[in-house]
Amino acid sequence: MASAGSGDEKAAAAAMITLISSDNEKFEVTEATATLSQTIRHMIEDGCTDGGVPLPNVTSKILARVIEYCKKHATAAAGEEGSSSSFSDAAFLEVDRAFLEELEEFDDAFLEVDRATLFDLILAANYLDIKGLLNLTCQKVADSVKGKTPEQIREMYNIVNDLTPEEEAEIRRETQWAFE
Amino acid sequence: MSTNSSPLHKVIDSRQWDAADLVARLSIVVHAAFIDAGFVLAGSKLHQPPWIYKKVRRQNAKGGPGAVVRLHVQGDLVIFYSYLASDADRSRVHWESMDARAIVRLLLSGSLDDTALALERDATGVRLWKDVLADGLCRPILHDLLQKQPRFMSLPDDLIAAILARLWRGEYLAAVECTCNKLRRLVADRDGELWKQMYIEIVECVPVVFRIPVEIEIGRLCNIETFKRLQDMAYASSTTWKGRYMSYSSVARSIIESDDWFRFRIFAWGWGLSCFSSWYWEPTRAPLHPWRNKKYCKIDARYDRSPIKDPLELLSKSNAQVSAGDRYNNKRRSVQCWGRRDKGTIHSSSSKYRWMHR
Repeated sequence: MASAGSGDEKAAAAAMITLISSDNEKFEVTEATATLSQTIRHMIEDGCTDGGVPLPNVTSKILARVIEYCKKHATAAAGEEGSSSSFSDAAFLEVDRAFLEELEEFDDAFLEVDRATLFDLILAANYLDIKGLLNLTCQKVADSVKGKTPEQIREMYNIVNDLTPEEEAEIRRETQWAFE
Repeated sequence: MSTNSSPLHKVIDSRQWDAADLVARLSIVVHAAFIDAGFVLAGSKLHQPPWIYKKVRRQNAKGGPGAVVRLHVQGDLVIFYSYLASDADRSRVHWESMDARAIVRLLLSGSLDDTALALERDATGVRLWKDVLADGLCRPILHDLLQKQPRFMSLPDDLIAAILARLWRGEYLAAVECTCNKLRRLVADRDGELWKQMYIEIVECVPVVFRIPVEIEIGRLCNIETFKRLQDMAYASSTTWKGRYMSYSSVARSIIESDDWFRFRIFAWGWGLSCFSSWYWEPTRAPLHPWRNKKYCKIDARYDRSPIKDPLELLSKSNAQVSAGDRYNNKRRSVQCWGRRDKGTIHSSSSKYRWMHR
């Protein structure tokens, strides 16, 4: 019974889902990878994935990046789950640590993209409801703002200054403490 | 617009203007309008239309997509039009037309000063400069260019708020607030979300290691009973969380900055308690070996940067070695081999856990 059960689990893990980008490109991913997205997970649970999952808000370029992220993190999650049940000694901690380190390096490399891609990734992560990716990308943007003056932030993110000189002077007075 | 500092004077002098013919003068006026709107001429020359303009960026003047500007004469009309250089199908063209005879009268009427004045005051001049060039061509094409560029402001409000919630200092949030009206409103509307979080972080979520000495020291210096009093003061000082944050941080800063000896005591308290905590509390994870740590590898070339080829090899080896009796010893050794473990520290099995978990 146990072996039959594990066979079924393997079959379920190997089940493939087709994701269709806004420009009609198709991506085949495992269910484990796809279910990192809560949006797709709900669709799978509702049985709405036959014939592929259309993602009209995500282009193929961005979807490929998102899938890259999901594959890596799904593998890491599976590795952690598999090993944590059987070991709890130093050797496991060492392997676990290696996983985390590798994942951290992957995340750092993953975020080395231009700003347009970064904003597209944020929108895609929000639409697909991938918490890890959303957190990662939002933090990257927040980090880029730190220590910048309002003028530098405007320049960096193409924000048009629509404040009148009086309003600007008032805000400067209010927030003088922040720029001392 | 005084004549000598007019946009026209910035691109040409009187001598060149007098030497120019009608077409050249018209192209100079168009050029001046685009320069005034913050563009630079890129990849083309003034006497060779079409002109390609790019938006001035401080860091990289040559970067970003370009805008193409053309002139076309049809009958009595001069048609000005512009579109994005990347828009090969010209699906979005901005155009304006104006009577050619009026333009001729305007441009051939006099000197550079007269024309600059006419562009500012004369009805035909205002029509050409403001309605046709500034509002008809420059502004819409600038909007298109900005749409093409990655825009923080095009994200939904919830996502912008999610990003701002990840700023961990009030100064950063205040800087964002100063950039434009929309962000100012957004931060003000979500005061209970963004500034409250900042306030809580600065007041209540300070690690115990730092809070205890600060509570004690501020209690002494302010001559108030407890640190809680300061929080209550800050809380009561304003109805907004931003006001409370500002009130709290300014009082705390003035106390800290007023006394070097106080800062030293805070440091000493923090250092002492962190030593105590590292001795007393066991961390939950094993530390990183030097060869796993990139920083060590960079500092010391003796460490091999290459990762262990097969992590499971290590796992299976140790698993084979670990019998029921040995497992406990291995675990304990791994704990002993790192951290601030000096002589005399008790390594009993229960010392791995805090007292309440023994």
